[in-house]
Amino acid sequence: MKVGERYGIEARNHEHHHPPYVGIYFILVFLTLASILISQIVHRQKAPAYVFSISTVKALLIALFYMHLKYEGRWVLAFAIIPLIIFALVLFALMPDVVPYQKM
Amino acid sequence: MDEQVRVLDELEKEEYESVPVPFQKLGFWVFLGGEIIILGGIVASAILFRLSYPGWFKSSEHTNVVIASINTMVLLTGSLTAVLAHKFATIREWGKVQLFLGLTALCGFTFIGIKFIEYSREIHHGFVPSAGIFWMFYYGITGLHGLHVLAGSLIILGVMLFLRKKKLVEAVENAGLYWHFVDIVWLYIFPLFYLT
Repeated sequence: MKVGERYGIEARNHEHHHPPYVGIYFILVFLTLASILISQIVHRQKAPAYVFSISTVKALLIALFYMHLKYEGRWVLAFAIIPLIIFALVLFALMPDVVPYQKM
Repeated sequence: MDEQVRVLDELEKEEYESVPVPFQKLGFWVFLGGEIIILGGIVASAILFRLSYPGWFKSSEHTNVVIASINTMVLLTGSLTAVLAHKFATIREWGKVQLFLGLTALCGFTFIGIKFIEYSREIHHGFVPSAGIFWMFYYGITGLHGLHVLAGSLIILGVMLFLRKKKLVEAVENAGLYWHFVDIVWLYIFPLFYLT
């Protein structure tokens, strides 16, 4: 018997939530088709902002519902968010390397 | 002897209550955290480069949007089957778990097969990694991602075999988490190299 089960803690951690997975899948497919369409009709300067925004919405849907982050406790959330903060710092640190290209 | 067991039980209880999450899951999230920083950093550097490099669009016109769109659907379908496998694992329907894990692995191998066809077409047209900075980013990032898809597929297969010996919901959940992470990375690679 696991330690958690022995103390009834395991049961609390395994309250599984099952959002409508198939419905979310169709939203993801729709958003994918929308981003393909937008990339074809929107001006190339503006297209990245739209399609990467759509990608972020899709990533959030997967993280929240398929990876169940919407239902996780603060421990798992912390382990998911801390790398994202470091990732944001990396992004910020890389910016000076690419900005000069815009001036050339 | 009874006293020793009681003391050990108390220690175990205190340890568990201090971190009220299954240790396998927490460990797996630590691993995923490392992956987010590594893969995320690489993809982010390419996105930043794309936003400031005017020649990117001309090169990305040579990649095949249709093939990549099919591959995107394949990965999304794999995510759906992976999460359905987890859903059925929580209600102990192990036959369906095996089925959906098998479908997820199939999606992974299909993705890799399609990617190989895509690579061979591009190389045939002279778009090798040394053809330009876009193609260096392209082969480096999609290659690294492809390795992750392969690893994810093998993990899913491994869990399928493991379930014959022991039925563990956590194993199905963690394998699915890895798959979803690989899927999320592709959601940024797809527009980066094919749509913008």
